[in-house]
Amino acid sequence: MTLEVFVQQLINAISLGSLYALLALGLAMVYGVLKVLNFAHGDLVAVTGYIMWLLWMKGGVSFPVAVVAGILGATLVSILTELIAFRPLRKASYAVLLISSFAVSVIIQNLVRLLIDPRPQGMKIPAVFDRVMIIGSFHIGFLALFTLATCLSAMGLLLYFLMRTRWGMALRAAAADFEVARLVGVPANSVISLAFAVAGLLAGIGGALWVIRSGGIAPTMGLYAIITAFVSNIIGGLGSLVGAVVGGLVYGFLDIYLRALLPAEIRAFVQAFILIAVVIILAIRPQGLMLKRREVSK
Amino acid sequence: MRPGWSRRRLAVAARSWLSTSVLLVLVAATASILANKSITNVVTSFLIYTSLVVGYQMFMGNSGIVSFGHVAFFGIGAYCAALLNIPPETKELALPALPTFLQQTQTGALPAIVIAAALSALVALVIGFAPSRMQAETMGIATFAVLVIVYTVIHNWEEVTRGGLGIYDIPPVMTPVYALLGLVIITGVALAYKASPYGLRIQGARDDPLAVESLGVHLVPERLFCFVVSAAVMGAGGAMWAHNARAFGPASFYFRDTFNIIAMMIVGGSASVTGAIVGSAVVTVVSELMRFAENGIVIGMIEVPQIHGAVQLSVALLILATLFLRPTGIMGTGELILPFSQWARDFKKWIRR
Repeated sequence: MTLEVFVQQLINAISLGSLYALLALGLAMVYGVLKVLNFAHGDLVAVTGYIMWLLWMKGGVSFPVAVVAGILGATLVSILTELIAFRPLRKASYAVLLISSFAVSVIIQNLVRLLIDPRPQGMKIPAVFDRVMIIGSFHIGFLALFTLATCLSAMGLLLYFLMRTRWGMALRAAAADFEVARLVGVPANSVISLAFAVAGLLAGIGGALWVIRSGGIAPTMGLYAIITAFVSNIIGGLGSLVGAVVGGLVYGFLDIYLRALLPAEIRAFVQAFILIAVVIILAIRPQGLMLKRREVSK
Repeated sequence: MRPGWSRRRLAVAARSWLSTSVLLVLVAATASILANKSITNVVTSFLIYTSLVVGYQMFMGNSGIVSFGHVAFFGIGAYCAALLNIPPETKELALPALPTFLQQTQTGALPAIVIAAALSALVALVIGFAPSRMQAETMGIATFAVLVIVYTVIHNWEEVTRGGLGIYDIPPVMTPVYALLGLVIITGVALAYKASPYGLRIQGARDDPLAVESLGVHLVPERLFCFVVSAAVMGAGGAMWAHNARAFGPASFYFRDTFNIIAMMIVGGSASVTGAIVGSAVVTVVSELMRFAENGIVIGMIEVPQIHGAVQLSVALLILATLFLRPTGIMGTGELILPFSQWARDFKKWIRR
């Protein structure tokens, strides 16, 4: 690997990693407030993709409008998910909520199959995303830079929202200690809905980028998104927002560099190698990279 | 103060084993009396699939951890048994790159099942080490990675698995009787494990990890042991499944079956072995009925169009209904015990009259 290739791949890795981080962040937001992993989070990517496909490929709406509609659609579905699958089960255990969201994920997948189309579809992506920029001796894809810029601004806005606004503070308080937050006047249902709305928004933005990268949609595409988000979260440490970002970046680096470095004959196994690397990381730090080891295992 | 073997628990387990076995025998006997080929097929696959659900119950029911990775061991068991028992002539044709010793052997079904269980256990031991050290919540998610790793390997290791094409010509030796025998043995293992000190310790870790640790129980080895035992049973179940399927590909061991098995567990009651069996029966019946809807049916003059995803949709709604109305599932935490002695007494009274 020459230096040029290394630097180009570095930019690709940070870009892909920031996309993974965005998906992982939404999951971590919800985990922070409700202490549950929302399995249906990945399917929000599919929801975004299908809304984009319907409006842009079928409806003739312009691409940016379709993207915005897709993102808003994912936000809406995320809030609805909470109302249907989580609110009636507020007192239930972690396992029950995980399975409930798993069922919702399957319902979303099959509603897509039933109402839209059961087969994978191709998506025509505007040519601007295929452009390659030449800076000095580096060839850098526009898509990589665009992804990076979008994800960084989304994370910046999230940071501002969490740190500087009233509702952001309510969210952080609820994540730190839900009962005490309620005692000081944070409305429980609103703050949970808010967490799901933010998660849906992040998943929508991530989903739009995901679809632009892959150029296609399928009813089960959420599965890959959720695996990525789950794994990023546990690499970084479940329950930590910083951990989610770090985990996403690590996953992105493993993805890009293993794909580039593995010999061609075993490149088909790259997904397995990435996850084996993750398992090795977790064997050394079972609590994740960004969390301290707890005194008492729960 | 660690819990030891309890004669009373074993006696209760034996009674519910007997009760469950009697019911299963009745189901199989009814099917063989009807002697309808499609019913026999459904019952055989039900009995085999239920073995997998019981294997999964051994982990999730006792440890309380939702694992998304167990179907990987189902797949390992199925492929291992198939590769051991496909006739050498077929292997020469379909899998020319296979190592010679594997290509020339045909072990027969029973050794294949035993070896498949052992291999699954071995893989679980190696790959389960890291997840077992995590928090309970994280472990379930980490096992998702196990599913993807195993699926990726099966899907791409073309010299051994033929990749997406799948393998074929596995001798279909699983009659309803063998399937029944397999399930009865596996149910016995699961009930014995649940009643054993190992089972008690991991159930304690599920209900109150802090209290169990304070009694001197180390959670990590208990979890790993539970994971390995359950993986071995899943492997054996997968091997039986392979001997009923004749031909299969990697798609059988991924998301769809993970969902099915979890659905069966939840509907029946995850803390109960008989619950796993009951749930498997309920979900099988619902799926078989909805399969008609999915393929489109013609009732008289009315033509019902194909409803894509009808099976999964109805099973998912069944899960939600269970969680909302009866979160512990149909059987709750109890095991099925039929009052045989009561019936015997009633029968004697009835004879005397």
